[in-house]
Amino acid sequence: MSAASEAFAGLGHEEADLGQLGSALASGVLAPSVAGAGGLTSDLSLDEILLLHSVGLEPVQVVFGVGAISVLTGVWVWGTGLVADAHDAFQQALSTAKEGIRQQIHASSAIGVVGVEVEIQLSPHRSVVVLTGTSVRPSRDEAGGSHFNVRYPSPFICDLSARDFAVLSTAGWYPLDLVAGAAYVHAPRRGVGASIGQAAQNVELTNFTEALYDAREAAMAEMQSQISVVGGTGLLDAKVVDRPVSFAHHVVEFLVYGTAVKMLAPSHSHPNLSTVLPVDDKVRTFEATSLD
Amino acid sequence: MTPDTAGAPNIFDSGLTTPDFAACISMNLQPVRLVQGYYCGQISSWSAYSGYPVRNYPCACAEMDMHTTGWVGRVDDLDRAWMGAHQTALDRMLQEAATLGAHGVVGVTTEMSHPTNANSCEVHLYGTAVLSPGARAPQQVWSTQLAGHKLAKLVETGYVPSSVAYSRCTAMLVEGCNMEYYGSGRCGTGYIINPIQDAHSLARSGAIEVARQMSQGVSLYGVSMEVHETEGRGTSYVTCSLRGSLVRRVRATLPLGPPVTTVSLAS
Repeated sequence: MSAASEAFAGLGHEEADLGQLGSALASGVLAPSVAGAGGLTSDLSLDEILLLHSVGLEPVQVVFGVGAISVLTGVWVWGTGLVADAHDAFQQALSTAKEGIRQQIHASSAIGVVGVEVEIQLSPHRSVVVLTGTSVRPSRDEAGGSHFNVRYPSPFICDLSARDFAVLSTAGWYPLDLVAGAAYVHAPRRGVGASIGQAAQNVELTNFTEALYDAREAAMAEMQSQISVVGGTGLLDAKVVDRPVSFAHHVVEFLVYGTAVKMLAPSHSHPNLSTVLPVDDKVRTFEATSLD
Repeated sequence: MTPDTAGAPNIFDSGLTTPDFAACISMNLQPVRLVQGYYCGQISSWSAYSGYPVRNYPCACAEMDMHTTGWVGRVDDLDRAWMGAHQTALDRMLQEAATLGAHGVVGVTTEMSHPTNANSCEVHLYGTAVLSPGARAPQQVWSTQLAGHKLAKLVETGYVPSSVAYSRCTAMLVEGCNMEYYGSGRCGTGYIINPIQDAHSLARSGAIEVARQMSQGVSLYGVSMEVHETEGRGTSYVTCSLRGSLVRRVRATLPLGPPVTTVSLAS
């Protein structure tokens, strides 16, 4: 056994002696690697890796999926109602990206991906979605066993952090898939008379307000429909993007996406919360002016 | 490249924050010197044009004349220049640390820039050389981006740092009639724009593949991925860079138990 291994052998979590770490590190380059433990890449922080291990998972590889779908010329000219082409292109780009990331998850013998970062680009002629995250698989103990017992029929994709995954799974809930709703809605033109008549007034642009409501209704309904399709019973950490389209200001874009979740344990497990009061806050300094 | 090793033997300087310094002392790691490695070089002006096709696209127009249909490829020269610059700067920093008798370099920070124009590259790595009093001299100085309690946590978890790592891949997209047709919306809605998908995929998969080659027998953790797009007239580039720490797992079992959920009363 090498010096590093001997040092490590005494470094249990409860009895870690920081003083030994320096010696271990100093000669750590001489320690043999654990067989089969190499070749992994992960964009997770060390805390996240530890949390994943605590629920029986380990990172495997950085994986990604890209979807770039064309949008017909002319769909952004001023009109009324939904811009169906833009919506279809976004959803197709998202499913292409999801398919791509699932293939990489399969290739890396993983069961899903956590901490997915979602990049969305929209230009007049294309909709691009890029998903990037770290694939995970059940970790094995020395006896070859694993205490992650959930069997996913297909790889899960979630944009929750590893911390969120650990908290969620501890309570008996698990992520299923990344779902999204999208809507692009034209804000109709005001009439010439209304435009001139309101020029000197502070008034609400009801055409934009209504377009935003229409877009929200359509996008939320689509997302809720997708939650049902993937078998989820809820969605966590919804991200909302609502803004005028940069190159077509009369079109309101509303995107909402998040991770569909489902309780897979027999019942919800209530976490046993411990209250912590940190005492390492910044010290409040004395202010002479407070005596005034 | 002679390091400045002059100075009083018991005076140290470091880039550590106070908490990281306290953690290092607790780990019996003594900071020695803020070590640095530089590389400033010129990138061949032909690098940007040295791309070679990985995938060609079929003609999407009815023109009979000779014309470009478009392709996506790699620009290895450019990537080699940057990765070589990083490796040289890293070697110089580690050499400086070795000269000081250090065992490792913690808190490594990397800065990369174009000092003059797009054909120049500058890489500056710096970190704090540390040594463990009484430990035998290392065969090779290790380096890591971590310092302080994060480094302690790494070792507690069963890993030891090996080296900081940088990988990169540039995909070059030469537009042709295929991209002009599918990328301009003339084809209609719902068609996959293969050149764009391939350029993004190639850059990312290339950088990940290089990183995986580096991490044979070790693992690359704490990866940060940066993707940069540059669009020009008829040619665009997608560059993906990965940075992280190569670590080796030297203990199979992990010490962390199930997490305890807490509510902090701090504001």
